[in-house]
Amino acid sequence: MTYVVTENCIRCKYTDCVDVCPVDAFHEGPNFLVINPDECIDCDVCVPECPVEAIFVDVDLPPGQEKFIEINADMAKQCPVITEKKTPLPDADEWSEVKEKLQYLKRCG
Amino acid sequence: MAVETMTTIVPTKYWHKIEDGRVQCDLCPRFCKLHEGKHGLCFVRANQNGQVALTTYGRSSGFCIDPIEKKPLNHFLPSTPVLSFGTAGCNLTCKFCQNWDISKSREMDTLADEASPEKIAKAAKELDCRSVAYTYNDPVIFMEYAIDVAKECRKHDIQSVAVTAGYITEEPRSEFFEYMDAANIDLKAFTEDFYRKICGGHLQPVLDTLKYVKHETNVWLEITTLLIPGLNDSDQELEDMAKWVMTNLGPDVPWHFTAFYPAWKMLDVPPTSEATLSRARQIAMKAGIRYAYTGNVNDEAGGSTYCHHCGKKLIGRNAYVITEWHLKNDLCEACGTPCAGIFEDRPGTWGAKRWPVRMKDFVT
Repeated sequence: MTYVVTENCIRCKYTDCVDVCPVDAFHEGPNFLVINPDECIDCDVCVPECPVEAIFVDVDLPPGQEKFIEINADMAKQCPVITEKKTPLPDADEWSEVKEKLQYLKRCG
Repeated sequence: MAVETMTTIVPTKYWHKIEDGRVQCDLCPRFCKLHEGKHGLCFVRANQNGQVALTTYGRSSGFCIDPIEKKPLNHFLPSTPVLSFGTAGCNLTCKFCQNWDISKSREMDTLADEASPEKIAKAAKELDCRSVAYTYNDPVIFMEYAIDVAKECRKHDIQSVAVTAGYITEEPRSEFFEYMDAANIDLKAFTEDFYRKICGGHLQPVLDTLKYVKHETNVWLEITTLLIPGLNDSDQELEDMAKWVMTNLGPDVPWHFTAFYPAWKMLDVPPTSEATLSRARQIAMKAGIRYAYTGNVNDEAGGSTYCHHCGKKLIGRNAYVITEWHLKNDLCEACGTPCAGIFEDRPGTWGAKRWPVRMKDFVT
């Protein structure tokens, strides 16, 4: 079991979640955040922080979001840890309403 | 002189192994699941060698003698001194935390003072404290240490006071409160949304703890609600909360409405007005609560205790100082009606003093 960042985060990256994580489990991609499943302690504290409701526990993902389990695990290995909240991406508010954003996902490296 | 050394890492018993190889801490309703070497949200409990250990046993962020009214407890040995200490960390993440330098500390150097349970109990005795309080951060997360201190205190007839948010699961709850004599438990709000979004927890476990302490233990219970403008201070929420308290805890549990000051991650909300505190107190009393107080402000009318039968002022208080005393044992001098609480013939004489104590000054 772990918590997983899903599609809604893509091109938004509000980073409120980062600020509350007690174990520094978030990693930062170019336009997406992920949770490192080896660090996450399932404390649930990040879930209510996300303004676009992008974070779910892996056993209760919305339909179609299952692929993000692997995306989180993979990108956590490639992307740097992020521990402090920062300004969201410039057009985050516009993208927050958009569905099917996986095509825009950028990975690290 | 021998330097006291004590292990700061002790085993705990409320956890179990889960299928994926991690251990799950079962102390609080958060149920953190920890890989080897990882700590929980509270920061002080960690998976060490496949078991959940408390890593701050015997370490404190500071000792201070306070008036018991500051915990706040208004019906428990009034105006007596209480030796108070906390450790580091917390199992909630309240954005308005008024003690965030302690509760959110990830630095072990916050834990400057080292003291064994024996030493704390003896220091409390030597300093004429009637009680020891586990406070500043939540004692639930350092319960093994708090319980050992409480056991030592009982040997010296020193009472134990828990100041807690009550966010704990059933089994450790009963063990923890078995060793406490009084508790002030926060009822931070009366919506799940507040507990979830502002405190990172849930409301129901707190309600369960309040009911448990009131009905299943002999612990003297008072409750505190820190009122935050616009977030938990509506008439409707306060009326709902008061109704719940009346129905589930009864009229005799003293209730403190205290003022918020901008802190931690809630710097953009103004401090609570005295009018709001008074309004909350009136709502509680209208619902039938007999002992409702305003706190953190100088308000003699709102900080005093009145006989629920004849209205006589039983204990006058102003800024932690007793100004009047009209109880004979625990009975109203005027009409003889009992006042709920733990009272002696007369109040203590500690007053409003706040006196920091360094444990290293005590050689015991």
